[in-house]
Amino acid sequence: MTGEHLVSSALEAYVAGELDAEMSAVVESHVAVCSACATRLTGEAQLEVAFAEVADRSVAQRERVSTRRSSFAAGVAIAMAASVMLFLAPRGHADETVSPATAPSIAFERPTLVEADASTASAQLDRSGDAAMKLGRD
Amino acid sequence: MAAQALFLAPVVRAVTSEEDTARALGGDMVAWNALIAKYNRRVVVALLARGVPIERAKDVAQDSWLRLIEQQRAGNLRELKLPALAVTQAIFLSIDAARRDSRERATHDDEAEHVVDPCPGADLRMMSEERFAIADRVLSKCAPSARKVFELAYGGEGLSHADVATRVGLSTQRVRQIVCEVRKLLRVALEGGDR
Ligand SMILES: [Zn+2]
Repeated sequence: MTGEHLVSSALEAYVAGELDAEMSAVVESHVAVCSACATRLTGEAQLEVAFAEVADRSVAQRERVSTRRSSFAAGVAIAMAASVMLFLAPRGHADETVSPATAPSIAFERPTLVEADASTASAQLDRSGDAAMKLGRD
Repeated sequence: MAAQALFLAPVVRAVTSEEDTARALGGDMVAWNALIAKYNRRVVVALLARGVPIERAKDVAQDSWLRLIEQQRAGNLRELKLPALAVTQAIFLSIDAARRDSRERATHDDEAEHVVDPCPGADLRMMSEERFAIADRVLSKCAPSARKVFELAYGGEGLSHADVATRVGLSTQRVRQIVCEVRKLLRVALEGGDR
């Protein structure tokens, strides 16, 4: 081991499937021998799983709302239901931005995989330790 | 090595996941390989998130696909909901393996092979209700179209950025930006939520 650690963006890109095979192999071979980075990878993976669970729930909520909406519409005059729809979904495709001011800066870039600065790495390690979700293991 | 054949880079094919799924259920190995190429990462990540080391996670993920293919060949697979089914299979396999490790040679009373329920139980979820509430607040502040992009990229089968772009009529680059931005907001909120 060289004392170098993976940058957080590399771990994030790895779990998000944004690295090519070669870069993925670099990440995998490092975490196989570095328990600190393996722990950070676990944290990233937990976040990735969390995102998927959040998205699933978001879809489910939206579906529940639209089911309620359509059964309401069925019971009431159609013209009335149509106006309800207008109020519930006021913004069309005009609103496509998350945050225009910051958007360009978050464009995906191929991350530099290795950083030499051990203090940064341990700071990141602390952060991902804080971030760790409760594991389902017992 | 047969193992590697399972993980070849996805060939660009003008075939939807639904078509691949239908073909895989009919025993088409090309379709299986396409589905594996598409979803294996999700399986590995689910295992990593549960503390399984990377090499083992990759092995277990591969075993899970082989089990699913076996089940299909034995006529036991009616439905193929991915990646959920493969993830559930993998988690059961890793739990089984951990149990085997810990009790070495205990009696084989509960060794019955897991045939996985196609609807994974809620107990496999990693998020607590508190954390869902935090995430909800973040998503409700996002533009509806951004939320939609995030849902398509991360929910259900999880579309690629390119597929999301086609679905919502934005550029792939824009979709990537939106996904990154929502991810960043959620990361900050969820990581802060533990303190
Ligand atoms: Zn390291």
